[in-house]
Amino acid sequence: MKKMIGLVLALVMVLSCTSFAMADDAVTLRFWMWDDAQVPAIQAMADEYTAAHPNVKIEISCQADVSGLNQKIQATIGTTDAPEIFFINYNLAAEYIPLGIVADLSSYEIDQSELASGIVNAYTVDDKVYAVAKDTDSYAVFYNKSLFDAAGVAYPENDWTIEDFCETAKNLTSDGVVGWTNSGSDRVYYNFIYSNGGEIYSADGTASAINTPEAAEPIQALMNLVSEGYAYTGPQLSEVSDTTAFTSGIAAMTINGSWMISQYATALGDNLGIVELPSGKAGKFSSNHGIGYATTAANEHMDETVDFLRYLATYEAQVKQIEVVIPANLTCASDWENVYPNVNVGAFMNALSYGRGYLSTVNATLARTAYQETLASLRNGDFATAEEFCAAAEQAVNDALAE
Amino acid sequence: MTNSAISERDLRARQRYDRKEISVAYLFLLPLLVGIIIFFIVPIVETFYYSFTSWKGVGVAKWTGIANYIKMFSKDKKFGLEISNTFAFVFGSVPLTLMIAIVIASMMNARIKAVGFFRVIYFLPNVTMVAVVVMIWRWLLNSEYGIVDLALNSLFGIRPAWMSDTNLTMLSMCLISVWSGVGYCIVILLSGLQSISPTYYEAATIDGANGIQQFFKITLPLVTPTLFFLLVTRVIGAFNQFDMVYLMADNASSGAVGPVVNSLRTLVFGVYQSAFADMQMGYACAKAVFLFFVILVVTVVQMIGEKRWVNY
Repeated sequence: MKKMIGLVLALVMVLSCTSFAMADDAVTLRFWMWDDAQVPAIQAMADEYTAAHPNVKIEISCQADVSGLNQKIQATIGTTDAPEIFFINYNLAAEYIPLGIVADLSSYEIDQSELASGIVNAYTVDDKVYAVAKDTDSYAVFYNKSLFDAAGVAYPENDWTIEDFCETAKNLTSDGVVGWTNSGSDRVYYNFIYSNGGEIYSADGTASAINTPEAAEPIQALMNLVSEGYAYTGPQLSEVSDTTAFTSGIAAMTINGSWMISQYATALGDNLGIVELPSGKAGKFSSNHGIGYATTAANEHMDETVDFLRYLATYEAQVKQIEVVIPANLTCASDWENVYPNVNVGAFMNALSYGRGYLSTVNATLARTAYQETLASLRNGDFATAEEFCAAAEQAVNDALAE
Repeated sequence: MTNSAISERDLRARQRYDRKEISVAYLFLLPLLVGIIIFFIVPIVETFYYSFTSWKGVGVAKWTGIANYIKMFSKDKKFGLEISNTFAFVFGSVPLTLMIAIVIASMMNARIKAVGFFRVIYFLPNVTMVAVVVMIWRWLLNSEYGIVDLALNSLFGIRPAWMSDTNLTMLSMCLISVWSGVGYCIVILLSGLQSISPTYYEAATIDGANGIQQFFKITLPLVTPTLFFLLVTRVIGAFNQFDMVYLMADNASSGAVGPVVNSLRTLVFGVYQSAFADMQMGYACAKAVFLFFVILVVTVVQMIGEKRWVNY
């Protein structure tokens, strides 16, 4: 019996030694992301990379949304459970980079010259590069052609104005159909404000700058749409989401980002139309954003990680995501247009040229939440005039910035 | 002299024996204790510590003294909302749950047909996940396409927005909580009711007491220990209710902010928002500490009150 136990123990020891030896051979890179729709693209990149680098394993773990990822990162950062590579967005970057937990990639010579400079710059702080640009996005107006036909309204053109937009929403509204879905996204509202010459933050990003007539004017126009029944109110929007309303054909127009295109194209097929954002006094602006790939400062497999990051910046890797997002590599962005030949995706490509950042430089999360909250109150009908809203928003945001 | 010497030796022997027994007992308790210390006690102590820092959840925690507590009581407008919403939820859901549960439980305790069937039916919501319960109710109560909306609209011509009218959202949540909590309380109360000796009822019937008198004079007083247990656990549960609030307030089109969310925002949800959405883990810890003391005080008050109305 004792011999048996000894034998078993010896066997276990040998086995564990071999497994250690195997573990030494292959480096596992943990890759954390959000958005299930992007898993196939990321998996394809990982597969291609690991086929060429058999010593590396890539473990993809996907969270439903950015706050899910944020929670996991908060729980693991600084421990050995932290991921080697993770998705980072503007908000996370604004919070994480000052804390020193995102690795500075400047010294590793990762070639990002082919990638959208706006996104690369967004992750560059004090000349230090903290992420590899992954994708980019922009806004446009999606519309349902059959509802335009039914109402006898002409399809909008790229040169339309905010007044045209409001007029179109009015003409499209009929029993059971609403002109514009309204939007729960703060960025949609920022687009209107920028286009009319208004600002969200002061130039240095440390104070709110929304309390101006230029910002109030387009807000008032949107408020009128809501109060006259041409757009959903906040409560209606929370009972039926903008996407549900638009894809089920009870709303004629919705304003959303380029990442929605595949869902809308699937739901509406040939009835889907896309047109650029309406312009205001100051032209057109689309609040611009893009995800990056980052790694942690405490990464134990830095060499392997950097090599993989170099791969992620290449055309071959970037092009794998064209069906879900606009890649940061602008050469393959034109391939992205070919994925949806029947709709005017050029509206999004054009919008990239008038993109704008939309975050404060301090307390980015809190300040943005303050805007989102005041906008939700606006949709709820808590403000009588746009001026009232602008004053309240400025106050709330400045309070958040002062935290 | 001899007697006392013997008894002293006896005593000492017994003590030694006891001590030995105690250490063995602790050895058996060790696996559980280690778990409790690692997973409960240490995090609780850490929560207290971080409540005095401006920790973001990542990075280094900076000691800020009682700044978080000052902010909580003087600057944060949402904190007041969180307190009132929490109490609204506790008082709106727990008493109603218990009242309905005791009525249904005493009916089920009577000799009626198919009582097993009813027990299963009433207990079913309790074996369903809260997430599922809330999602189904959100569909039922949706003011655009919900079946409740359809019924109310065709019968009375009213279309209350249960999920988005900020005057109704808390009421909706309390009702959903009652619906899903009643089953559990019924089962516990039934076991309490069945331990009441039928002789009391026989005697009361002979004396001419009717059913309602019997309920208030016999059933209710004798089931108070069970009621007390349910009251304490349900109140703590309601204070800590998170999943229901999260799912009710969750709204893909506006994120977790805005008037609807604020009308439902309880303390626990506020802790979650501060910690994971606003990236203010230190402040969230301060709120959690406050919630801890609220529950502690409420429970102690209940324990003191116990002597006044609970009959053992």
